[in-house]
Amino acid sequence: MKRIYAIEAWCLGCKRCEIACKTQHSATRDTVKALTQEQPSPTSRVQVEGDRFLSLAVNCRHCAQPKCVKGCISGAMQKDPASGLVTSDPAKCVGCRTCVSMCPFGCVQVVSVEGRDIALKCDLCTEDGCIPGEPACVAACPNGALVYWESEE
Amino acid sequence: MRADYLILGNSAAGVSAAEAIRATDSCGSIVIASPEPHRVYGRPLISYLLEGKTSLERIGYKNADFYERLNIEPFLGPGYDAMRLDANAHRATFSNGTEIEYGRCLIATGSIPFTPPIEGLDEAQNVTPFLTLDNALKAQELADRARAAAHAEGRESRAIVIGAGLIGLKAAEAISHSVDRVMVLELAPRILPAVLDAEGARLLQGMLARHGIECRPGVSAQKILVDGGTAHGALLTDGTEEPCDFIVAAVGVRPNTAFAVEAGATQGRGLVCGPDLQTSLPDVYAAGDVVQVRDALDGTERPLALWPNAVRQGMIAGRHMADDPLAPVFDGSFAVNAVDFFEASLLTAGLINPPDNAEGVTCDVRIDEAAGTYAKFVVRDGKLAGYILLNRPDNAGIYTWLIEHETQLDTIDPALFDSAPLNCDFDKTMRWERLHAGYPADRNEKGFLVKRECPSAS
Repeated sequence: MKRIYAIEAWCLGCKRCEIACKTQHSATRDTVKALTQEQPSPTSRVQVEGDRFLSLAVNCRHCAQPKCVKGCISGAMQKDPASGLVTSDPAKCVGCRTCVSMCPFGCVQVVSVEGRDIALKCDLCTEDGCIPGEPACVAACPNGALVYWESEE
Repeated sequence: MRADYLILGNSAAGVSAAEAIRATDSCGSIVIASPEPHRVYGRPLISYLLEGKTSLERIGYKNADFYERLNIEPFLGPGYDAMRLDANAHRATFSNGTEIEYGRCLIATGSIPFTPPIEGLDEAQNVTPFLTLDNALKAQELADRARAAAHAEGRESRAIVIGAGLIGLKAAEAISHSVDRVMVLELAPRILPAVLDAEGARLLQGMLARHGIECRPGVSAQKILVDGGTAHGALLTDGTEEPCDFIVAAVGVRPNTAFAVEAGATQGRGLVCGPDLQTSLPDVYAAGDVVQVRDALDGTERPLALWPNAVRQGMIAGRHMADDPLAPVFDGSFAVNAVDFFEASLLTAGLINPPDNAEGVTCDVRIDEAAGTYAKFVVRDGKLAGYILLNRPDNAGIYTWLIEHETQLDTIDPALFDSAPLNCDFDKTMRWERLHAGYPADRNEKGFLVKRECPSAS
């Protein structure tokens, strides 16, 4: 499958990836409205870590053997056998945070959406179920610090 | 009848094994048998169901077409309790008299409630355990009835939960939405004795009290007061009497393995299995709560009755049952618990209550009373061996990874423990290795191509 990789040598810590992710996962798909008006405020699934000296944008690895999927008590977290995409079904998630305790990279967040705690994570900007799209974070990166390449795993 | 693979149990371990078998063997016949009349559901979700956080439609662990798609024959219902196993004849007998001959059998029958010898507990109809979907539905029915009857009499409705383990406290939380007063009894000196330490238990107990759940650690029931088949109170071990409208009995669980032991399977605190999860009986495997697991951190041998462990063991056992040459071995595990109570989250892993003065062990404790957070890190021989995180869940899986990989902490920024751990707390090499699984071999760490493919000779 194709995976997003962080090239930390080029990361400026500008967080454009986070803005693009929020916009992509908003109701309006309009950056200004998404960031200033929408309730609940959209959550970025990519996290820029670090400071001026070292920064990198961390995304779900869509692991070959995802621990979040093995741990999930509700069946919400699943890996699509064909595409390799790991997604969480908000209708089934109960927000227990087993996935948070399992993910080795800190790539699942549990946030309150419309009064329910649910797990949110990178879905590779998929539009319908399990076909990965063109990740908005990669497209938004001005410096080649996020790439979307065919992986060897 | 006959099945190539007979799976006893229709929960995490059983269905994970069936999936693993089917991934290797596309045509062998698979039967899953269980006395529960439901398709596989998220068992730990039963308390969430009562709270309205999931529904009977959404509680299914697998998609609706699971059994059909994998060509599994489900035998589900009260007649399908495994009663006898004849390992030599490769035959299992069920409570309704059905006999199934198998090629290989998986015991994934999970836990059953451990009923303590409390006088009167098994005489009352308004007492339920809290392990299955049907138990939960009964608890809800008892709660609804208690509320209606109590309010008709102009008084508060009351429930007693015996046992303040994970099951008891989740049951207490679930019924607290329907019942006015919930009292939780616990023989041990603190709540959640298996997954929390004294300080964490104190903080959580205070939080539960603010939600109307009164925990009484150090106190249990010595006698249930039963009248005409209905429990109306309990005599506690401190000599006082406590009235109630119904009781949830959640004292503990034990592996559901009587039929296997009778058939000659070696049992310690659970079924003793080899690294391929085969029991001492030929062609009989085991996975989930029934298996005695070597704790990777303290070396003790006991069942690890946790969902992720059951899934992992099911996957491994299934691959061995189907003779997958690449099947991994099971070489022990450690506990990782995630649970939430009302607005609080509690994550724990590994060694959390090391013995006092244990050599080479230090505990790093961070309490923020104002924020309501409590974090404890147990470090042994320079490596993280366990944690408790109360209301500090973010990125906890990074800590779990450190425990699993026995990573020496001196290579890592100590800031890792101050707040949510980050990938950038690791040194450059480890950071890259962790985040770049499957990274193209012809690219360097700046993303540049480092070698070009040779043009073909033709």
